[in-house]
This record gives sequence, C-alpha cells and structure tokens, in this order.
Amino acid sequence: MIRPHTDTTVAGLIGRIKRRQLLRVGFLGATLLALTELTAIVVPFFRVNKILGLGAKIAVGSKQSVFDQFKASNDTPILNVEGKFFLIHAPGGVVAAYRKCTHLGCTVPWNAGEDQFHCPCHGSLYDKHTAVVKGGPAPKPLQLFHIVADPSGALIVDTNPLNVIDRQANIWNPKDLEITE
Amino acid sequence: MLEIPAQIWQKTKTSYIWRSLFRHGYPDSRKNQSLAVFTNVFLHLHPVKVRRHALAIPYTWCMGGLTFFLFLVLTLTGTLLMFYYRPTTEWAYSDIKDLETVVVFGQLLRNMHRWAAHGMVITVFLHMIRVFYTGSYKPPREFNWVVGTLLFFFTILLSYTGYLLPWDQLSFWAVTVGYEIARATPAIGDEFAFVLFGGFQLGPNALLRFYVLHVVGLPLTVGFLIAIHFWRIRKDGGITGPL
Repeated sequence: MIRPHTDTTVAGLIGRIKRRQLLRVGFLGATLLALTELTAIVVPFFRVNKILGLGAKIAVGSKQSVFDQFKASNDTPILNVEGKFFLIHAPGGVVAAYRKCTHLGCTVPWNAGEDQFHCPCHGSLYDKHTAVVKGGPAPKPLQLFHIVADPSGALIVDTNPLNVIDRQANIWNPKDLEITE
Repeated sequence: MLEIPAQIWQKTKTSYIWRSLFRHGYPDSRKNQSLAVFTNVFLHLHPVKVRRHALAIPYTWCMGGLTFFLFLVLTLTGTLLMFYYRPTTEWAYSDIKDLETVVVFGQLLRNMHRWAAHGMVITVFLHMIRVFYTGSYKPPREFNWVVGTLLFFFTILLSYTGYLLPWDQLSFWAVTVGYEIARATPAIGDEFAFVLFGGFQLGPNALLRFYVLHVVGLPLTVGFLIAIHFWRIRKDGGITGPL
C-alpha cells in the first residue's frame, strides 16, 4: 500500500517512500531504461554488416583461371576495382595486394609501360611479382589480403583492411604465400 | 465621401478575426507597445525595450545576428537544392553539375549556399572573437559561452558534412583525411571510423550518412541550440554592452 504524501503514520523505509516519490522514481527509471534501450539499438544499427567492395569476401574465379590469365598476359597483375586489390603472380603462387600505398594511402595503379606499380602521389615503386618497394618514400611493401580456396576450387579474397598480412621487411618471404601453383 | 472606407476600417478592426489576430490596440501607449511585442511570436524574442548601447553596431558588429541570417539563408537555399540532389554515388556528382549548368537559377542557389556556408564559419569565428575581447563570456553569461562553443562545433560539423556531398575528388580525399583522423581515436579508432562512415573506406554509406546528418540531424541540433542561445541572452540581461 502506497501512502499519500501527508501520511506519517508508518515508520521505517516503507514509511519514508511516499506515493509521489515512488511515481517519480518509477518514471525516471522507465525513462532511463528507454534511453538505454535506444542507445543499445542505435549503435549496432549504424554498424553496417552488409559490406560491398572493400571489406567484403570477393570471389576471383578458380585458381586455374587466374594462372591462365597470368600466362596469357605475361604476368600482368589482375586489377579488382571494387575490392581495391591486385592479384599478382608471386614466385610460386598468387597473392592479393591491397592497392593502398603504404606511404600516405593513395590508390596505387599498375604502370604497364614501366612494368611495375607506380604511385602517382609521391612516386613510390612496387615490384611486379612481390609488391615489395623498389623505390620512392614507401616504408614497407604493399599489404596482402588473405586468400582461401573454397571447396569448389574458387579463390576467395578477404578484403578486410583490418586483417591483412602486414609485411614490415622489404623482402619477399615465401611464408606469406597462401595459394601455391 | 471618406466615411465608407472609415466605416470598413472600423468594422474590420472590431471584427472577430482581427481581434483574434491582434490582441492589442494601436501601439501608441506603453501598454500596447509592450503587448505588441509580447503577443508576436517573432518579436517576443526581443526585449520590450532596447537599451541605447544595444544599437551601437561597432560594439558587437552584429556578428551573431549575421550568423543567424546566414543560417536562415543556408536553410532556405539548402532546402531548394535538396529538390535536385540525390545522395548516391551514381548521381551526386552529376546532380551538382546539373545544378550548375542546367537547372534554372541552380548555379545561383548553389553558390549562395556555398558562400553563405563559408561566410557562416567566418562570422561565427568573428562573433566568438568579439565576445572574447569584450569579456562578454563572463558571468552571468558563462553558460551561453558554452552553448556558443557548441554552436561553433556544430557549424564546423555542418561545413564538414556538406563538403563531401559534391562527391568530387576534392571532397572525397578531404573527407578521406577525416576518416584517417577518426581512425586515430585511441583504442577504438578502427571500429569508431567503421561505424561512423559505414565502411572501411568512403562509399555510398558514408555519402548517405553525411547527407542525412547535413540536412536533418545537425540543422535540428543547431536550431535547438540557437533557441537556447537567444533565450539565454534575454535571461542574462539582454545584449551585452560597454560597462
């Protein structure tokens, strides 16, 4: 039984909580609960989980077709625009190089005339087969995306830029190879 | 001869509609002058009486008023631009181009929006300088100084979100720099930037998010803060003046 404000007949905690206070606390609690729920909904709501392009897992065809393309084109790197990477013919296999310059983040294009990657911003040069630095201000080789072969034999490139093979040393390391010929 | 219009005027002034619109007599008495201000939604923000020093333009430069004027210009021109602009990567750039070259008066409105936006940042800044150098941030106006700095912050955010919308090389790379700055947030940087921009790089999600923030979220917030800002001026003793 909740007593009105003027009732002072009961002692103790029960006696101290009056109708008005209970309503006030109840209303405040309900408001806080609603705000908490709203916050808990809004933050995950803004977190995109259907990612297109960079960040998605991108199928690039079968291993055989990739190597056939390399063979037919004298190992020209295969550009994937939406995934922002090049498939390059590494020694003994294939790697997917994230085409973000390790210097200041420009999008690195393939330069067919020079037969190497040539960043237009500050002139960093990367090797055709390993994407290690051949010149310019870049501090380390291009980062590599992880590649897996699914059961049907198709290659899937995981373009999540937060989960890359981040090579610090400027040399080709065969251990970075995930798909071999 | 003049009796007929005089009678019509008299009838109009005593009619039910007139008296429900204007609930005071001609403002030639002190009471009616006060009522004329009190009962008008647009005038009630203003004090009933203006102090002489408040009319001295050199003291305030009217920078706050100019900022508000530019905010109104931006709201109006921005709303008109919304009729032709689609915030998608397919259309954003070409819609801006169309506004500049095809739409009648489109170039005028877009340029008004653009220059008013630059102007608003400048006037907000000058307004802050004036308030600082005249000491108008001191009590009892210290709360309004805080509201004002919030308004400055939201003005910058409005400017920044609007910058991306043309979706050209300039805006894309400028906001990419912003993405990298967001990533520099301690501990939660990558996640923070991902949630804020809706992806690992600028894309359709970021464009749409910036658009919604630019045309709905931020203007509403700024409008709310402006209401508090103006109300506080009144409550803290009216416009500041020389001591």
